[in-house]
Amino acid sequence: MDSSKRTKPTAIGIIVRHIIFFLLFYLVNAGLIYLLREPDKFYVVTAVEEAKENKGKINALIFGSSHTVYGLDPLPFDEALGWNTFNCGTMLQDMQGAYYYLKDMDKSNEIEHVLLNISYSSWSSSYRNDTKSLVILDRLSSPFVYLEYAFDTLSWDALYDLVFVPYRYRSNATLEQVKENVAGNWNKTYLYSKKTLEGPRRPFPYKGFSPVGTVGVEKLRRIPNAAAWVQNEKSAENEEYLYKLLDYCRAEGIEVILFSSPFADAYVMGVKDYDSIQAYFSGIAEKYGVKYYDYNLIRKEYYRSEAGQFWQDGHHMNFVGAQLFSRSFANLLASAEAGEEVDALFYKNFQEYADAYDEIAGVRLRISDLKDGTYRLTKLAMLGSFVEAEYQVLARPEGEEEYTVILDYSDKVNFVWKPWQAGDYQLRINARRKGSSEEYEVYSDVFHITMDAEAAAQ
Amino acid sequence: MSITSPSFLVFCIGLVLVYYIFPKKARWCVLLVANALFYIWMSTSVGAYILVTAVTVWAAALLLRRMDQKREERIKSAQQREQEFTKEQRKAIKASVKRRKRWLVTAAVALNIGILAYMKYYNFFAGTINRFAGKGVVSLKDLLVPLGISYYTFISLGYLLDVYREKYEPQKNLVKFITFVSYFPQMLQGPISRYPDLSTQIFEQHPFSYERYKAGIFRFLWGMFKKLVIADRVALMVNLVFSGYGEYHALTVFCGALAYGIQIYADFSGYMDTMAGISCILGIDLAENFRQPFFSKSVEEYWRRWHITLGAWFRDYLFYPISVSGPAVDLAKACRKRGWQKLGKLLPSYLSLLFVWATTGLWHGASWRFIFWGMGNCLFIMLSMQFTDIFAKIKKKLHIAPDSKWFAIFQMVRTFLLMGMLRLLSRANSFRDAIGMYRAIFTAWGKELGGFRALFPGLAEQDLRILAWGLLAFFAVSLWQLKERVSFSMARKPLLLQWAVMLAFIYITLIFGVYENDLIGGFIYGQF
Repeated sequence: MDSSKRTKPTAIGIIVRHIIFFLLFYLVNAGLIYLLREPDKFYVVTAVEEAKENKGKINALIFGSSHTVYGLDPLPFDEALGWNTFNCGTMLQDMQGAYYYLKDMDKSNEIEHVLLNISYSSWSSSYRNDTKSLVILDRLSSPFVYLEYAFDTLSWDALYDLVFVPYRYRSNATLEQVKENVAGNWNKTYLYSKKTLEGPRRPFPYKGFSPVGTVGVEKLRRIPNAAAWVQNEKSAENEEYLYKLLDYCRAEGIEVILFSSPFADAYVMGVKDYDSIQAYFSGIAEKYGVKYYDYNLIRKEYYRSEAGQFWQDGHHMNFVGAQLFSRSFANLLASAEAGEEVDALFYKNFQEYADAYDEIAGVRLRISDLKDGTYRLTKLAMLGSFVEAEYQVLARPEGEEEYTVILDYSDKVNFVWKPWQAGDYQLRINARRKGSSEEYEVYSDVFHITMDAEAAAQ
Repeated sequence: MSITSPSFLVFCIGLVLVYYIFPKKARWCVLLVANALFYIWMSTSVGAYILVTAVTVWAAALLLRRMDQKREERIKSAQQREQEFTKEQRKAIKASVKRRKRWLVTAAVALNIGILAYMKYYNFFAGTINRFAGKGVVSLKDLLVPLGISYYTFISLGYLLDVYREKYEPQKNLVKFITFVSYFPQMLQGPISRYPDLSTQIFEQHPFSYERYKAGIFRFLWGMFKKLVIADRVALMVNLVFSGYGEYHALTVFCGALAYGIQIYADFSGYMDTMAGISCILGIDLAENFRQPFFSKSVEEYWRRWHITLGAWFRDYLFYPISVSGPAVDLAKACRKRGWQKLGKLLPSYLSLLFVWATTGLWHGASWRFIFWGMGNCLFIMLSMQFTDIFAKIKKKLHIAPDSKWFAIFQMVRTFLLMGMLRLLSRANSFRDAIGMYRAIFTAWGKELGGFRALFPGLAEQDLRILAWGLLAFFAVSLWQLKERVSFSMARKPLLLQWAVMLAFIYITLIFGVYENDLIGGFIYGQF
């Protein structure tokens, strides 16, 4: 029947129709999202359930980004310090997220200790995004903190996920994930649960800790570069919320300990002006009268992250690394609590660290196109102050398997190379201690050159 | 804010609520605020330019009217004093006023075209001069082109020229005039509305119409579907082919060029439908910019169906004035005198066409590619005009009935292919690339094709399936549109069917939409 022949709906009729349509939309939406969301075997869900199980009993929290999620096991802290620790780390967590998450956890628990993992690699202003905020929102139990954080952090564009995803774990059912699942021909991908854990002692995730297995020495040796610490990129917002968090803890009588979890040596050595990072975080700690431990500058005789064994990449620990670091850090805190002098366990500055370092941590190649068909290759090794390195550079046309040595072992830092002909090349650099007879100690092979025909003709 | 972002949806919902809560008399004020908010959201730093254009055009239009009034008052007062003007005196007064009016209108047009030319074309002209006179003769500038400048300048100048021709009375209220010029649904990509059509609707008091409201929602959803599901998906392939044509087989490059035609149509008409939908909800009908251009049987017809308001603007304010201008008429006379009757008839039109199409090309972009693209269109139109008789004879000889369905389909396909090949010029990354692509279409047949899928690089199998269904829906709606206004027709269907269709479009767009591009406001024509 043609509806125009019916009488026109009244204003109330139109409003009722809108409400019914909206409910219908919401229902269909809920159904679709339920069908198309990520599976519930998700570390956020487990973390929320564990937080519920321990409600009222947790007295220590660890905050930080993925370095914390993968790298800090609460168990050693519980054992060494007698705490009931919970790992509140979330992917890409910034200080704003940590601040609201702490407020929320403090509402349902008597928090006495906060360990805050502050890292130079996650301190830049371009670090915010809605998905990482949703991950934290999913973990909050207080509706007031939830709303406060949601309004403070989410962009308008996250409104859909917030309002129209009638599902407890929104970070697990964002429109983007639903779209991806449909696009992948209903081939649902697990975010974390698919990854194999190495030798799990107990079900993981455990109190927020979600370790990842070893990926091997070779991968670590391919670390190309470390994030630069540029003073201008410091996030004012991170600073603001760090101060808020510290003020909150001071007002609530919560002890705060700042720390930087360790990165692979190659990563640390690749950072320019590491001392300014140290000074920056130490300055904040001093200002608030809290302790700051930088595990990148811990003396090698006390703690050493052997390359490969402890890492899944250049700055995320694997399960073994997480165990070792967590136990070491927990013991260090226990010693400090017992009144022992622990500051002496750390180098005073980067120079002291580099002086004590007796290896080559990693090697990189910087490629400059000289625009005349040749390339300047600059070899950069991350090594201790008193270690001398020599380098070998190899190249192979893309698609071929065998490398050809284009510069045999020498301590020359710069070298100009002309590719054999137009095409794509992969380059590899090997490095070893000067005079060593090993084939190589470290290498990197992530460098590519594309030479077009015009340049080749020059 | 992007038109395809949730923020824009919130903006629209808020606007509709506030608009209908406000008393009917004051609703245009809500629109003014909405226009300002929209402009601020879309572009923060160059809002002053639209005000300069609006104020100068408004003032010039009022001055034109004042000149006419003064002329009439002078004659009237003379009559009251029982003083009779002779015919010559009247003529002289009229001519003097006309002269002053012409000066004024020329100054106002020059000022606004000057702003447009400086902001949009300075670097193009400077670059061209430098190319011929040597590097660095004219320094290039880092200019931020005001949002929608090509559109609001044409809208304003159209109004001014109409007032100059005494087609209608000028708007006395500056704020109302600014509301008209800056009406947000037309600000970014048109349509280039005419003052009497749009202003009457903006300022008249219309009640809420439930049917218009639903029709507006349907059109909005359809526009979003075209943009996000079709245009932005086709863009995945187009971007690849146009940036790396050297690596593809001739057929792939050919398909990429044709795909751009589909992309730009779905993109531009998608935007138009979205904005027309919002405007319809507010009780204001925007001028239609498209009438199924892919059903055109000739290039000339295509341009009557594509970007209709721009074509009409050029026709009314450029083509006709040039065709009947003194030099054009003199030239025609000279030809006739020499016995070149046909040439005398066509020459003024050809000259006007050349100028109009060069301008159309330049309007679309500050680059020689666009000028050549415009001239290409002009060439096809002129050829079809020139050879009409010959074509008719050939058809007769081949026994082709001009109204045969199959011949019509052949003409449509031919026009689609021609326009697709021409469009390549406007989309290529440079003139060199455009030539390279044309060359590839004819020469790159030796490259390995690698099967049917290789014709559509960048598109996964699922994308192809979605596109096939999307284009089928697009085609079906276009056919339906020939008979009636689809959105209004849908708004009269049973309620449950309406809701089912709305929900289907919402979810299809949400789930199958592609949400990644870096265009201004997210649309191709936003660049023009």
